[in-house]
Amino acid sequence: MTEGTLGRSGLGRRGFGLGAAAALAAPAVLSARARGAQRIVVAQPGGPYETAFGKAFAEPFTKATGIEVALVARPFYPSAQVQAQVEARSYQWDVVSLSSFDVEILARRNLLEELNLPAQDLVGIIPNAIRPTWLGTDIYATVSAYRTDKVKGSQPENWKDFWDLGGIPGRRSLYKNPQGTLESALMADGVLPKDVYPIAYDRAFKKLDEIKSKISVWWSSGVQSTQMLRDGDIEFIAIWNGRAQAAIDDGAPAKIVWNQGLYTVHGFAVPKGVPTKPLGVEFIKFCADAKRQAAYTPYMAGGPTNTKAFDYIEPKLASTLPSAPSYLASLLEVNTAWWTDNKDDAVNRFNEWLLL
Amino acid sequence: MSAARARSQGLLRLWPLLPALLLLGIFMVYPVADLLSLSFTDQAGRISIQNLALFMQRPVYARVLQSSFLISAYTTVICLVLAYPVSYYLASSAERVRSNLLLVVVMPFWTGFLVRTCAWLILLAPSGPLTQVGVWLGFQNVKLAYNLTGVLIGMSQALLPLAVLNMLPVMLGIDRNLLPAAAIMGARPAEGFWRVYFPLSLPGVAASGLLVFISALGFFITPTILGGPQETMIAQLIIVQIQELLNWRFAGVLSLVLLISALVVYYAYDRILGMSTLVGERAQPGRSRLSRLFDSSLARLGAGALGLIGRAASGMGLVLARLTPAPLRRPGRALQTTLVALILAFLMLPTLFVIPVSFTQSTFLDFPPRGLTLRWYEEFIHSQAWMSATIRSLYVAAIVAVTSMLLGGATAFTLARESFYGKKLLLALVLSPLILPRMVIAVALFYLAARLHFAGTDLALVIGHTIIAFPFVVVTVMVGFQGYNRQYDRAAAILGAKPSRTLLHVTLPLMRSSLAAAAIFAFMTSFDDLNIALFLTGGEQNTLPKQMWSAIILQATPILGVASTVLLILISAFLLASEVVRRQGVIRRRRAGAAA
Repeated sequence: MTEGTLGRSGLGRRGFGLGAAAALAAPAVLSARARGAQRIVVAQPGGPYETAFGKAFAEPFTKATGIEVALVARPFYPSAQVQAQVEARSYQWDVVSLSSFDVEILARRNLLEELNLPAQDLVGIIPNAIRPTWLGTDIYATVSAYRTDKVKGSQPENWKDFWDLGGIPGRRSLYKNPQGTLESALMADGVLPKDVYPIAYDRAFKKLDEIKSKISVWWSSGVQSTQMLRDGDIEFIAIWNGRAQAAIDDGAPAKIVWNQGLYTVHGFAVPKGVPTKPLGVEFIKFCADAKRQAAYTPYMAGGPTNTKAFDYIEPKLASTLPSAPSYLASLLEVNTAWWTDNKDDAVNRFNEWLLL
Repeated sequence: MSAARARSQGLLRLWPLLPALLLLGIFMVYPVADLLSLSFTDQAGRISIQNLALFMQRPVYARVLQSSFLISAYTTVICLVLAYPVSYYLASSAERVRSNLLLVVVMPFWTGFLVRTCAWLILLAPSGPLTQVGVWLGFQNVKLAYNLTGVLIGMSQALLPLAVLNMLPVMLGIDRNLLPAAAIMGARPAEGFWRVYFPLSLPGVAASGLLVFISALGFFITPTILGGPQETMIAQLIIVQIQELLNWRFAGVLSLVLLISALVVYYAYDRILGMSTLVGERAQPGRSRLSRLFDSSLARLGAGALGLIGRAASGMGLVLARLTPAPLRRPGRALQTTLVALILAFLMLPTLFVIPVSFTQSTFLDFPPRGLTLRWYEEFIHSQAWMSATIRSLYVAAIVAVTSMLLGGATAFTLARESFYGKKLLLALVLSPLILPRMVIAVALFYLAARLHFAGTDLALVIGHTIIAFPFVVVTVMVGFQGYNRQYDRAAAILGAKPSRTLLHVTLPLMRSSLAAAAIFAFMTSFDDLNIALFLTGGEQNTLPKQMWSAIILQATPILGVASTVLLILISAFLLASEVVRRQGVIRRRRAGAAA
């Protein structure tokens, strides 16, 4: 096994020599790592992301700069790890992919580095993908999707139709999380997207009461949602667009309703104090490029944040991406500032509503 | 002998506890206490009980705590009911059959916990094969997933091997001549079983029950994937607080509440079922007056209900024998075999499921598999990430098995043989890593490891896994001691053997089956852990469960089936080979003995 497969600077091999010797050797090894070869570890969600980011960003970046990139999978919510690594000054990640919601929390706690990306590198990037400590590279959306083989007659167009149990019969499924679910309820109740925030809890829960007993499954992992849509265990579901697309690509007779979907931007940041920061920033800058962003779209249904990327994407493929110009206008961005202020409370209220 | 000298000698005899105490003290108690102390501070770091107040004010937490205990209790009952006949059958089988069947019992573990949960999701889904079978059998509205049924199926399947591995050594220790003896004295088979065998097997049942219950309390992936909202467990809420809200203060409060309520259960369990049988305190006279007073008054209260159940069973033996349905009264071996085969089939189901689906042409782990391809095997073998993760998991687990056996074995021997004040408290401490959500231990250990500059290394992983694995070893080995006749040690001593020689040539060989069970469980605990690995190896040092988890989080690809199948074959082959080698050794020794 080569150095490359088992951790940089021999970190990975250290465990072989178990015992006091390894513990004593630790500081020396760490400082060797800090000196660092031209190599960065980039944490990302794994699965289809890993393939996509490898092809579109990591491999071409190494080719262009000589800096090696190791893609590692991170937990679905990576913030706890970022905080732990920064506070302990013990870095396992040089760059980490974060949703705009993760960034909001971490930036408020001063756990991320300022990137200072020059404006000329950000031409074409949508404004809400640019923050001082983070650059958004892809967009995913919570949309509704339905089985075209079961839902006949009038085609669902929005959350109001999702709530219309009489007009569009079929089993429903929602995400077991207040984020996205409360917004959908409000829009189903006729609230205009621009008025969704701040969320009116009473109104949202009252609307949710209407369909509570008809929700067959409250899903909580991406695997579940895809399985249900694909195998026809439900007819109508609130789902991440990428998970719905995976079912459709596998041949499931399903369709995505883009209108009133809720989108979140996902991108890259550098944990505070990482010694390899310049390399990380270089990598992030590379990921802003329109062609590079277009290159990941065949591997996962994330929408580029660089609007120029659509010049390089086939129309058929573009129609599966949330940031396609025709969809983006009908989507609402999840308000990360509101959620960061209120998620504690919202989670408590949601659990009480659901469980008591 | 002066009292002071006796005391110091008494303390000296406890030295084997020291390594385990040091490990727990430095790498668990200290960092976890440090983390949990956050619970009593506010945002500004001042001492405050606002988090505790929040727990009290929000009824949802008490509700979730209650359902966690209920789900764990149901799981425990199911596991005990299913594990008993399996263990009984194994204990009464020929040694060769037994060791082969034991391989089957532990086999699900090589599939990996995540993959098994995922397999259950597909098997139990409304469109899944098991639901279809139910409908075909004429059951209307079968709902196997996203409810209590799904959670209980997933959890009891996961914990059943633990129950079997703890019952079996006790049953093996029961003198096989007792049942024929009972029959000679006029007891009918069922009566002999209920009045003689069953009461003697209870310590193993009690230990299994405790371990299963405590482990079940910390579950969060199974209820997340297979349960509905009503099956939300407290560990899920703790993880939301840690991962989504970064609110470690409130996560600390929830963990503390979980820990304290689990300790209350431990205490109640001790009173009702008598942990004293587990720590072997029955025949230990000459203890301090205070502890005797303490124990006897409580013992009088609880009346050592384990004995009570045994006594009740033996008292009601005749009644139970009558109540037992006629065909079961003299349960033919064929009937027993069928029952055990059914239980083992349940245990094996998700494991067997992954083998065919690893050849599917679909991009999903699905059933029935579509077409036939080796594409996923190719991808697995050519993936450095999968390969290095597999190798790391295997060797870390092997090291953890060794360290856990050394620490846990020493602890168990000392706990079982020596009597001292605070023994049960010590056992509670040893068991606490099983109660605390692993993520709490993982976060706490990460901070400590980072301060000591070994975060992200395999050493950190070994330490973390040893902490969660060695409690299983302690309990299993202690239970094994229940059936161990101390007269052998004394006989060896009288014949002039030094204590070390006695240990090596008498005690350890006689405890073989318990030790083997303990070692296997320690290995599996490490091999299957996700939480500790998530925090301690965030970088490139991946373990197999982490690699599987990243392949599962968004989409269950067939490569999971490949990883599971490959491991299943590799490890089973290894265990079979070592079994063959062992048997040949036995035969050779027997021949040598016969020749002599």
